[in-house]
Amino acid sequence: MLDQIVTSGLAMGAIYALIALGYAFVWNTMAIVNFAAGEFVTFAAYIFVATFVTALGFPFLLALVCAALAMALLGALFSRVVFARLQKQRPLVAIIATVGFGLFLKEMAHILYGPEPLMYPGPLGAKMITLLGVKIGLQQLLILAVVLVLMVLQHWVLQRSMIGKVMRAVAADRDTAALMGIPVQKVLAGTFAYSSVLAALAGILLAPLFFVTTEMGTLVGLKGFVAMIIGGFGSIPGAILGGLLLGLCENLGAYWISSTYKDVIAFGLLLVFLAVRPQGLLPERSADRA
Amino acid sequence: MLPRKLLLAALVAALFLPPLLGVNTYWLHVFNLTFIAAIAALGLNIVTGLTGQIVLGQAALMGLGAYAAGLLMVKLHWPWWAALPAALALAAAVGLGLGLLALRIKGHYLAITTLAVNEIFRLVVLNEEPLTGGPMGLRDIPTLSLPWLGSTLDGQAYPLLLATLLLCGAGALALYRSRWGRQMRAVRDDELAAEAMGVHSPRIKIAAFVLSSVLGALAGCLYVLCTGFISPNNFVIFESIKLVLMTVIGGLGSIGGTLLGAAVVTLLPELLRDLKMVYMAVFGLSVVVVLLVAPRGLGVLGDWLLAPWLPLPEHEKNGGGVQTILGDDQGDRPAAVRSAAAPGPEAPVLMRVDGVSKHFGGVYALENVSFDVREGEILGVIGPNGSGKSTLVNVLSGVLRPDGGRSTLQGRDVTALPAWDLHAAGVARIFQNVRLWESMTVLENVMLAWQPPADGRHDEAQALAAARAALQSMGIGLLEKRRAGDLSFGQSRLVELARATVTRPKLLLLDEPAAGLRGGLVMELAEILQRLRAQGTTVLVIEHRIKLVMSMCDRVVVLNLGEKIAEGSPEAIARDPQVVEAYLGERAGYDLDAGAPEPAAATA
Repeated sequence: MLDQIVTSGLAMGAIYALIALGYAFVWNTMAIVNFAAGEFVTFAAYIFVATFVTALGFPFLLALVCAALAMALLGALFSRVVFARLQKQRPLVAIIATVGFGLFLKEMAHILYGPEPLMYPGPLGAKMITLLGVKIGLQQLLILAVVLVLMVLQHWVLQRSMIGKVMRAVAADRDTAALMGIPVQKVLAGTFAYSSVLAALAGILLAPLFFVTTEMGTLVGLKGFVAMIIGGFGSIPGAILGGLLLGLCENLGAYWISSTYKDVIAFGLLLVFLAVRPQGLLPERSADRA
Repeated sequence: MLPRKLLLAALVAALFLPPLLGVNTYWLHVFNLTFIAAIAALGLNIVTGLTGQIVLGQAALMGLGAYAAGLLMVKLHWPWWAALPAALALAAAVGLGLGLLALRIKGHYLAITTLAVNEIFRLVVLNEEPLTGGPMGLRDIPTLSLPWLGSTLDGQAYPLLLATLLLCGAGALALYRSRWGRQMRAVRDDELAAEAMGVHSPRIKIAAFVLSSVLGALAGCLYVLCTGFISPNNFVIFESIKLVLMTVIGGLGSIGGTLLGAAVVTLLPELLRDLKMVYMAVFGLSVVVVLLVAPRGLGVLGDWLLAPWLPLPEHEKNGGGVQTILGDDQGDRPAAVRSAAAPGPEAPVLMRVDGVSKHFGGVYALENVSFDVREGEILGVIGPNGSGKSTLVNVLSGVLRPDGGRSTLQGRDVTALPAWDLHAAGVARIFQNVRLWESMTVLENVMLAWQPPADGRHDEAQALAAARAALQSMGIGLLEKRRAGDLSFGQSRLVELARATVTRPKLLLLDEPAAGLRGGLVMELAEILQRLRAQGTTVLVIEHRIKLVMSMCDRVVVLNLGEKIAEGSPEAIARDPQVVEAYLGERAGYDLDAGAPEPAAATA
């Protein structure tokens, strides 16, 4: 029993990690927290399940790529039209504006796809396999595999390629980056698009585990933010560690303490961390000290 | 201003009309909900708008008040007039806890924490079914019954809620104008400067959280009394966000704006209801558009309506300059400013700095620095970049706590005193980069730093008079109604000096007061320092320009790499070989010949 709780906790943690990474990337390049992240997850799950899989009948992988591309486009557009203009505003104004956009996305999902929850069995169904003596659901395994591959790719791109260098330059000092000829606005839009892809992946991978409803992303998005704080505000490795830790603690807490208060455990963990280690597990040097 | 007052009176009177005109119950109910939301938003405006602490969980405070009052009335059969104060007291206690929490965490952390508290509250209420009724809510709570006010519950509640809201609004307005309100706004604009100018910021933050929580709980209690039914869905995160939205589009801090914001946010969805399914999406999108296009639009309107009761800045083109300072037409300025002689070595010690050290990681910003500041002198502190001068001022003003050593003020150990206590003890400072509270008027900036006499209580009239006098003595009395953020750098510097000297401090710490000033102002500065000394203020000044130091200062302390390497008269310092090597370099002799021998001549 315990092994399943650990593996499903880690899988959920991997989802939180995806979202936390999205927060961290956006925070590092724009210094704003996107409180609509949870609704990006919801919206991605809807267009994936309802549009690409059900209506158009695409196979899993093609539908995944299409949904990710659509979300990237939406993210880039949102970044150029709304997000970039929020940077001059006080943090609270930016927070509320992103919350407003989240509400819009949630309601758009409701309008476009109706009030009925969607069922999506996923390509793997609810099958379980035994791996090295540990029972694990195939969907959980898929989540962990996808996140692992993504992390390796991302690390490689950030450290080795020019894109990574450009992003890190913009993060370090935007004005200087612009003076050195880096197209800062494009980098910002690209970063936001990438964070939207991460949210889309989270939504797509979650769809077989939850019913797809307009509420599915809200709490997941908040917990992703909690994961980023636990890991260290804006820290990339911290976001991954924080996500996994949060998913694990949540599941173990639900098992040992109380399953009704599963969500309280996540926020309780946040309060404990803020009291004991507010800088997070792997703090970033330029964290939000405001 | 009189027409404005009449307009507002007419508006308030008109607000009482709907029930008398027979408006239907549905709309009366919507208006009642608007008033309740406005009360909660006013509370939120105190903590978020005025004090700058981001709170995304105000709905939980409403829920706390509502459930506390409801449970007391249903389970223990308390009458409403006993349940209401009990619920408010509980909310005040929770507000105290939140305030203590906010001393540790800030910004986005506070935002997510309060959001989490809101969610935890919802889950607890949802799952503790035997006590709270769970998802079905708490039913059959005794409501108000005042048949003489109207036939329906909403009709009865309407005038009461409106009157309560007006009272809360007037209270918030009074708070805004008061010393507490100024201190809250100062903490929001620049917390560090506020602390250095005598604001006990923890106390102010906690007070803001308590007030905000109590108003939130009051709104919740009123909701219970006017509906008789509550469920967890009334107090979800989305409701908190709506309350924040009211204060944000109300201009974050504006009282009138918050009330208008509450009206717009509650009434707009009702007006959009014809759009049926689309209306929430339109609402979400319009939030984004409003915040992008006119982030504080309603605040401007609200402040215009309430202008007669607000300390509002004026936006003049020519609000007076600083050129007048050298004129002789200002009678309140002592004429013989330069007659005050430098005190001798036998003058009593005002502040003794004894072996003070401060490390940042592996960097030794200050290492075992000791010197005395004598009463009535102008002591210069010089040193190359990174020699620890600013750290010294930060330590002496209580902004930083030293790692070792002690400092005493007139024999009293002040090493561990926080900045606000040091300010009360008579140590004032200015910052290297001018730090005014930009959203406040010049007059408010200076009044805020005023300290009552040792045993006296705060007296608004005295503070006002002292602030005007301080501004006059800096020659910028004409600027008093300007917004501090609109001033030029030189003007801001003089306002900061007026702010630092408004209560005639015993010791004034100046961190590069001449930095960024044009030549004429630099000379005025030297004169201002002489004048302050004549008034009995001792000055410690950090300065880079040797010429200025030589002409202004009676004695000089030289720092290099965190250590004191010399101390003495300007002339002696200029000849000290160690100083010459560390700081003055080869040009020292040249500068000395040009300016030092006749201090008075250089400033004339």
